[in-house]
Amino acid sequence: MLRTEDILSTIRMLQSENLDVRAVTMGIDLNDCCGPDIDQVCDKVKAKIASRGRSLVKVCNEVGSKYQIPIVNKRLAISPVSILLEGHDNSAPLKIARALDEVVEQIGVDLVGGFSALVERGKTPGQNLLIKSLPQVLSETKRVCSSINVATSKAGINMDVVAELGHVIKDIAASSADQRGFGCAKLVVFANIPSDNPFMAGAYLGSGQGDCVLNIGVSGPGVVKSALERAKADPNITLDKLAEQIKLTAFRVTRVGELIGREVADILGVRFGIVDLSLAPTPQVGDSIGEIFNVLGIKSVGAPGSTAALAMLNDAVKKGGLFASSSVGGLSGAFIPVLEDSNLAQAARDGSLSLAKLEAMTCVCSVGLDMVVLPGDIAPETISAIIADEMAIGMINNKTTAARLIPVPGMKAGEEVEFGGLFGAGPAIEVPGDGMAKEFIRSGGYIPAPVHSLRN
Amino acid sequence: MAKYIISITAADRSGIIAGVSTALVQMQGSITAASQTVHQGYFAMIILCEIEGDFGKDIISDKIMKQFNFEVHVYVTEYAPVKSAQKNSADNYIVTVLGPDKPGILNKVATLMAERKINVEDLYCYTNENKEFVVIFQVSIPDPRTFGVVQEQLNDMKRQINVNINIQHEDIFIATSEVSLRKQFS
Repeated sequence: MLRTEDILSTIRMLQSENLDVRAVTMGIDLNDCCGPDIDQVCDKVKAKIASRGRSLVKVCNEVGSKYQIPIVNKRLAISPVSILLEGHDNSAPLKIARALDEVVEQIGVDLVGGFSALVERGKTPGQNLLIKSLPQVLSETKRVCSSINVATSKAGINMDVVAELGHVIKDIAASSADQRGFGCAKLVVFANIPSDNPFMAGAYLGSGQGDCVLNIGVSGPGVVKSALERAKADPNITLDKLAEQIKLTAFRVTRVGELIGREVADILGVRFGIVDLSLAPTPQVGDSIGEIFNVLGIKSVGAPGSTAALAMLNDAVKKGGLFASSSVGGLSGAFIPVLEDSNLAQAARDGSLSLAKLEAMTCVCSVGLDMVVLPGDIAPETISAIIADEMAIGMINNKTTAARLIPVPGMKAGEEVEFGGLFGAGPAIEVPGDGMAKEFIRSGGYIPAPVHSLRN
Repeated sequence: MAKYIISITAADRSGIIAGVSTALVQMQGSITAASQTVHQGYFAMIILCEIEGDFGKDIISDKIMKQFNFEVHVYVTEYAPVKSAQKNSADNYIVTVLGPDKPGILNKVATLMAERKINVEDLYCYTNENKEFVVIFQVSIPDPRTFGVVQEQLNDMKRQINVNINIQHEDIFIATSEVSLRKQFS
């Protein structure tokens, strides 16, 4: 018989602490859709996605209602689209993006990730086409998300592409100016991109993952926050004991995700891939990473102490998740997407959360400079330089880092933008030293891979 | 060899299980299954056992009671195999009720289950430190299609009597509370 306290604490977790399965992401390999005729390629892409993904939403809803736990997002991650573009001309990227938009809408999926290119050492013609098409694709389609991997710990950083992306991001912002640059929220620039990440906008299906796989993203900042609040009822509780609470909570949250994910995969007859336990906030109150900082005793995120608190949080989450499931993968840690977390956005408004502190915090947590709004008149080279800094952190520390930067046309530092829904609202963050690194970025070339010994 | 179901209640103190089992050993009895609980100082136990000799229900009861110099209630009945109330394929659910103690809460939920032919496999209720009444039912629902209907009825009840009632698949609790996931996937 289960213990009554365990039963009641699980009920509490489900009813009042926003426990949900954040994302069920089906990975579909599209490499067998390659061909010389782009219209035929589009047809094959649509047919394959429809055949594999047709029942995804229905099955997710059924399993979600069986267990009374909502599966919030049902998404697709596809193999890098750049491969489909090889040998085609510059009309091809938009055609494929439109085909993707159309088919995922048909099957009821809100986002598809994988309009991607892995260019850490160099670009193929197809990858070149893809990057050049981003301003048009991300402003003219709704559901297509892109990721570009520009660095790895083994290859170094491709600074030519980093330099190019500064301009591309400005162009995406300009071409989606009617949506206040929202196109940029659908592009993530990565170092050490994971091939099995279920979270958008950076999800794609890497090579070696098979034809079709189901990956699960579980979240639960609300659950962690409540567990910490209960633990803090003891005024003398120490940080190691709070870390233990986070670990236990992460275990429970991961378990729920794995149970539901495996059942969905079983019914769909698809291989179960990984559970990614990441504390991924939403703008909803009670579903915030920032609020966890508050409970831990840091009144405003970004204040000194924030990096240490985040390091503890991120590590404890991983430890709980790893014991709960032998299939932990993806990013698995804590996200700090500024706009998507109302508490972080407020800290940015108040000035305690600066770009420099955000960058420091990304050294110890998942992802990186995520959903960071920049002034609209920022120099493209400065965007590239911010990306380069973030990539360097990932490269040197053998971890994934990423940048999702949104220079909102016409906006100055401190002014507010609102994208609505899960994308949230917040201020443009001040960028000290804008334009001071132009020469460095224009040098191009690549930053060689770091030494893997003498690790100090 | 005869099989018996023996139920024992008493004000709780040390030595009750020792006394009962001593009496059974003296009759060359063997315990096949047993469960025991204590509620607010009262001990209750149910035992399934096999006994070699031809003692009969009254003698068994006397022999057990003689082990004690305090009041112990013993009820012995002959065991006849019963068909399990539910098919094995039934899914288990946990129904929790939490709220201010009002008369008839447990009865309302139990009646609803009975009307739907849902068997209550396990039940636990108590008053917690916040003076709230807590009831936890483990029920098995043979037909998954019934689940939605039961859930709807429980939600109606929740609104009417203003207590927190929840029904949830047992697998969720196993997943969050036990070290192994238990459920096997292909």
